[in-house]
Amino acid sequence: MSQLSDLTFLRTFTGGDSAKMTKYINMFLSGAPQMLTQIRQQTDAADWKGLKTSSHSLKTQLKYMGVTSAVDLAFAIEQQSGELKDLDQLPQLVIQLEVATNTAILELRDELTKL
Amino acid sequence: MSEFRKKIFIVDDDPVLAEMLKDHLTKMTSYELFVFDSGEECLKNLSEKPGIIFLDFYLNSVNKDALDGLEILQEIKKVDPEVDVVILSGQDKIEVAVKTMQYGAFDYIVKGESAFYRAEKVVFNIYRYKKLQGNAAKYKNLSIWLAVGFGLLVILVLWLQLSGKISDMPGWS
Repeated sequence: MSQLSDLTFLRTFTGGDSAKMTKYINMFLSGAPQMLTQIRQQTDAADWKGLKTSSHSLKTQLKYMGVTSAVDLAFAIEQQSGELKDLDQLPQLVIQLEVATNTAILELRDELTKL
Repeated sequence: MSEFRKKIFIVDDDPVLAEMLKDHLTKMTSYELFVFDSGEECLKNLSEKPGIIFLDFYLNSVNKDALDGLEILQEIKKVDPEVDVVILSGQDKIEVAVKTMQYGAFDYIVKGESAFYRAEKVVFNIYRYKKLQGNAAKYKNLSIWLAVGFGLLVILVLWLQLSGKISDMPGWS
């Protein structure tokens, strides 16, 4: 299976400074699981406004970690919850987002050992 | 003219973006950087007189009861109309950008890979704008003093003429 995360941007941004890359990745790793929990709770509670905001925030962090597929999912969730459109599809999209983000988390933990 | 302010506040509840932006602007500018994870914290520290505030559009993604970026923008402008506020948002929508400008934002930056370079440009533009404003104020003051000086000179000449003290000078009748 191909990598979901791509650290090209982070590498360019930091000029290859591994200490800075480690700092940013660690910040993502400590925050992302909480954000996923929040997204899950909001989906279960049909809190669409909250879901829109949370998926929006996670989307930005996923962008910097180069997790493009999860960015697309977070964007779709943000759009649909914001416009109250195709709400029945949201639980499935959230599951896909959880899978993609959790996979990226494992990859990034592995990347940290190589930096 | 007010003194040049050398502090930047970054207000965002996304710690990764805030840290990356802080590191980038610390490296690329000579401003002193401060990070706050809520608009309320930013408001409490406005007495520090920041020159620029980078303000997230959504400030309630972590704490649902927190005020959002637009509400904080209005509060900031009430307390300190001189500070330049730059909105950070993941929304690439012109109507959102226009709305923030109507509330007094200096600029609007879409969060993404180019956001850091855009932020650096905005800081540079604000610096130049403030410098031009400072120069304009200096020239305005100078022209006022020149006008006052010229006016006094005319009054002096008229007085000298009327009192007959310069009536004999060549060129004066």
